[in-house]
Order: sequence, then C-alpha cells, then structure tokens
Amino acid sequence: MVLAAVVVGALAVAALALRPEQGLLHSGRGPLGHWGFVAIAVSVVWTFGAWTLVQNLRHRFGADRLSLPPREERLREAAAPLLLATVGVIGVLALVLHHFSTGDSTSGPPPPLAQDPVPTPTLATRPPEQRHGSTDHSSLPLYLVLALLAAVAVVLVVVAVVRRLRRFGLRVPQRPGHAGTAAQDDDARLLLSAVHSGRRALAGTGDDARAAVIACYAAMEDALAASGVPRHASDSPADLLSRAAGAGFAPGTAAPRLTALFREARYSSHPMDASHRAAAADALEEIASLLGAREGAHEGDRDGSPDDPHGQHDRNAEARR
Amino acid sequence: MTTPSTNRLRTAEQVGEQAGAVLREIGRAVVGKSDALELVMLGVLAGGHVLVEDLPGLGKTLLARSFATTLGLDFRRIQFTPDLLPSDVTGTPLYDQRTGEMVFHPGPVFTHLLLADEINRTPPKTQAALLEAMAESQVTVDGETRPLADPFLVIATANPVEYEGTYSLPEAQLDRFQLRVRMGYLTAGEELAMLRARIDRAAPEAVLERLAGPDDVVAWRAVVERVEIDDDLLEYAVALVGATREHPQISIGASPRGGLALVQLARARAVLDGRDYVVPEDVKDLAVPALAHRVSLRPELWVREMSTDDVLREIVDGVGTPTTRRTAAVSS
Repeated sequence: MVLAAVVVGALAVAALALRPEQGLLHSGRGPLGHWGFVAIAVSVVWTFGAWTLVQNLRHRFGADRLSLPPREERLREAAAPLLLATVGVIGVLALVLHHFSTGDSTSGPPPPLAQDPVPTPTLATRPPEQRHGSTDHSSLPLYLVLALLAAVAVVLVVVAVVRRLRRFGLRVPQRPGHAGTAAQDDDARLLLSAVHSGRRALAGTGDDARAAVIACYAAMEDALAASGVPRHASDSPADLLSRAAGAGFAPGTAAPRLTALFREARYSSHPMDASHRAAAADALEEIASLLGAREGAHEGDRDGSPDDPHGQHDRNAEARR
Repeated sequence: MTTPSTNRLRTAEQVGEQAGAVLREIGRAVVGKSDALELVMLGVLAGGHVLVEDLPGLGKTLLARSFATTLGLDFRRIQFTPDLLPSDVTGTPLYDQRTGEMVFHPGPVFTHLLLADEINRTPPKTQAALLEAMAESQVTVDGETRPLADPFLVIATANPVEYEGTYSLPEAQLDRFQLRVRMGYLTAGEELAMLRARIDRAAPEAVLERLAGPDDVVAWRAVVERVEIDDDLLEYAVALVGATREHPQISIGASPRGGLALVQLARARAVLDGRDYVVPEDVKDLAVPALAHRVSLRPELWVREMSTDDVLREIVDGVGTPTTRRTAAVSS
C-alpha cells in the first residue's frame, strides 16, 4: 500500500514536471520550465524521500509478514522491489526528459508548428535561436545532468553496501584513534558499575541467600547488557553465557560458576545457605577484578598513545570504588 | 546383571554417572553420534519410545542393538515388511494337540527393547498393532489383555526419503513416540576415526560390555519421577506447545501429550546431567526432538522443502524463557 501510494505520487510529480502540451511524446517544458533546478531538486528530493519513507515504514509493517498466505507472500516479494525500482526510475526520467530552458520566451506555450505556409512577421523577425524556444544551447549542459546522476548513483550504491554489510553482521571499519578507545573505556566503566550494583544488591538481601545469589547473577546480566551482550527474551542462561564468552566478556571460570549457582537458586528448592552466598559473591568479585584488569590494560595502552585523555585515571579509580 | 545399589534409593547424581558410563560404552560402537545417543538415553530414562529417522547406513540398527546390550535388556527385532501381519508382532494362539487347548505364543513385542526396523514399510493395520503396545505396555489378543515386560522400549527406524512401497506413519502413531532422533552424517574426522577403529579391532562390530540391567532402568526411571520442575518452566513448556498451535506455517500443532513428553524428557535430561531439578536449557534443547514430529506443516510449505525441525527452531527462538527473577518467593 505504501509503495503503491509512493509510486502514484511519483507519477503525479513527474506529470507536473513533464506535462506535454503537444502530444504524449513531446518533450514540453511544463509549468516548471522556467526553473530547471527546481525540477531537478523536486525529482531528487522525491526519490530520496520516497526511499527513506519506505525504509522507515518497512520495519513497522514487517511484523505482519508472517501472517500472509504463501501466495500473497510471493506476490509481495515480487512487487516490492519492482515498485521500489519504479520510484527511482521515475525520478531519473523526470530529470532526463525534462526540457530545461532559461529564456524569458519560455514562459508561454510553444508556438504551433508551421501550419501556415506564410511565415508571420513576428516569426520572421525573431532570431533563429529564439524561434526554437528552449534549444540545445539554452539547456543545462548534458554533462552537468550526467554528473548529478552519477553522484546520486554512487551515494545509493555506498548506502546499499553499508546496509548490507551491517545486515550480515559485518562491521564497517572505523577510524583508528581516540573514538574507539573511548568507547571501550565507557564499556568497561559500565561493566564495573553493574558489578558494583550487584555487590550493593548482595549486601541488601539480608539473610536470604537465594535472593543474594540471584541478585549476583542479575548484576552479571546487567554488566553484560552494558557491554553490548544483552539477554534476549528466548535466551537460556547457557545461551547468554555462550554469547558472552564469544564476545570475550566472560573470561575465566567465574561466570560459569555464578551461572550454575543461579540455576540452582532459581529453579530448585534446595536449601541455600551462606556458603552459596559466599560462592556467588566470590564469583562476582572475580568477575569485577577481571574486568578491572581489562580496563587497566586499556588504560596502559592509552598511556602509550599520544592523545591520552585527561582524567581517565580518576574515572577508573572511581569505578573501582 | 544388576548393580548392587539397585534396591536402594539412588540420587540423580548417581544415575547420571551410571547413564553416562553406558553412553561412553555405546560410544565405542557408535562413533561420533553423541547427541543421538544422548537423546535415545533420554528416551530410556523418561520411559518413552524413540523414532530414529534418517537415511540407510547411518547406524540406526547398531545404535538400538548397542543400547540393548549395554543396558542388559532382552532384545527383539522386527523387520517390518508389507506382508507383515499384526499377529507377527503381538503373537497368536495356536492349538496344542497334546493338551487340546489353545496356547498363546508371544510375539516379538514381548521383550524389553524392541527394534521396529523400517516401521513405515508395513501397512497401517500392523502399525496399529504396535500402537497399543507402545501406548499402554500391553497387548490384547483374542480378547485377553497381556502385560508387556517392564521396562518396555520401542526404538523404531524409518527412512524419510523412500516413498515407494511405504506407508507413512499416521499422526496418531507418531504422537506415541516420545522423541524423534536424526542421526546425520559423520564429519570427515569422525568417519576416519570410525574406519580406523574398525581396522584396529579386526571385527565387524565392537563387543560391548553389559553395564546395567532391567531393574536398573526401572530404578533410574523412578529417580526421574522425583525430579522437580519450577512452575515458570512448566509455563515455558506450555508456551512452546501453544506456539506450535498458533504458528501460521503449521496446520496441526502439538498435542497435550507433546507437552507431557517435553517435560518428562527435560526431567530425564536433568538426571543425566546429575541434577534433581530442571533448568531452562533442559526444556529449550529438547523442544525440537520432542515436538517436531507431532506437528504438520501446511501443504504449500512442502514444495519449499521446509522441515518441521526448521519451524520448531524458529518457534524456540521466539518464545521467551523464564525471567531471571523468580515470580514466586521460595524460602531458603
């Protein structure tokens, strides 16, 4: 529906820009004939606007796809790229077929073709170039239009390649330097912050060892989420642990130990005592120290770099507290 | 042979160790199929029947025979053919000229472990004869009901590719199997190890040691019955089963028996892991083998070569596991 509405709108814009007054195949100027750049801008803006709108709405309507019957699903798969391509083609055609002009004689309708064998004095007194209205020498240079089209094509290709890379989980190379290091520092700081909040939760659970163990695990979950490994709704504890290990955020045996304690506390009625609580606290401490060491290593790397940010050491010390 | 601890109460940890030893022993004969072996062992522990579905030559029969040997179970095999009769499965009464009475001659179903080889090659009437035995552990012949041995386990094999001269198992009979196992091909390394092992032992098959007996299996199943499962995990299992009934690509969802099988298999997996409580991984990892053979896809998906396993995996990835925090307080 959205695509169809966009295509119909594109047709309306194209008709506005290209409206022939002397036949369907005549490249007339139309009401925008005075301002070729306006026609270009309208066409380009329309194409990009339509593309952006479709991309935004696709996520909103994507949830309904599963409920489509297979026949309609196949029809949708065939129609969607066709309509998308149509939007772009219409924009390009609006540019290519437009008859650009700059002279003041272009405001009126073009004179009728020679129906009268005797030329009128007005036509005879006009210079040849004015008789032809918007002729080649008065149009925008062809190379300018082609350059503009080439630029648009390059931008579209780059955007498409980047989106495809991200969809397949590949990372677009980032510029080396301060930005990446700062992001890693922020991650480590968030991790430590989450671990510290777990310690506080541990202290606040009183004598309830089961709640304390679960609080420690929840703190580890928060820490992982802060580092970019959030728990998905369908994740089991093993799934989360596996993804965290894959991302390098669950080094050592502390995270598996804490996960095993959590499973027992959460899903069994086994009596939980101070030993379980102490084991969970130890595992959390170990995770905190590992993360602290990781952050220290980052700090050491940064000290060796020329653009070491001021105050980072103080921030780390604060996080450790 | 029965282990000395047969008659005393065992813990889940002890049963897990014993079952693990059995799996390791079977692994000497069935190379590189640890996942399939574990699933069959779960069927043994959970008291269900197992359908092994895959191409010929992948070790289905060897697997069944190895379990029978290592568990010390009576073993019978029925090669299902188009001319097999129900009485060939259950047994039949014959006239004894000496006594002048009809004497019941038990069929191969009167055993501990029955290998129903290529079960889809026999007509539905004979398949149905096995149905009662699988569902109720008893057979009725000439109006007389006879109980089967305890434990009674059916390992049925089916070839999913050949359709010529086969009779597809009806949904009702598929539902009787607690889980479906696919063997799959070996990796290159595993296949090399299998060939090397064959050359080294200078015999067609490895000679396996008997590590348990029928009483052990019964005792193991009693331990499974004592495994606890949290209410949140039961809700998770119900959500998985319910999702199969609402999925747009599935025409017939899993039955309530599917939910029962999933929970029982999850408890068995907990025991195999040495636990007496179920965790989310137990339910999640067993959803596909426990439910995939109980659902029917819409006909238009057949041409896309989609399998019920694929759809079930999609469902498992979409259904949320229990939250980290407990919904009901449990005292320490």
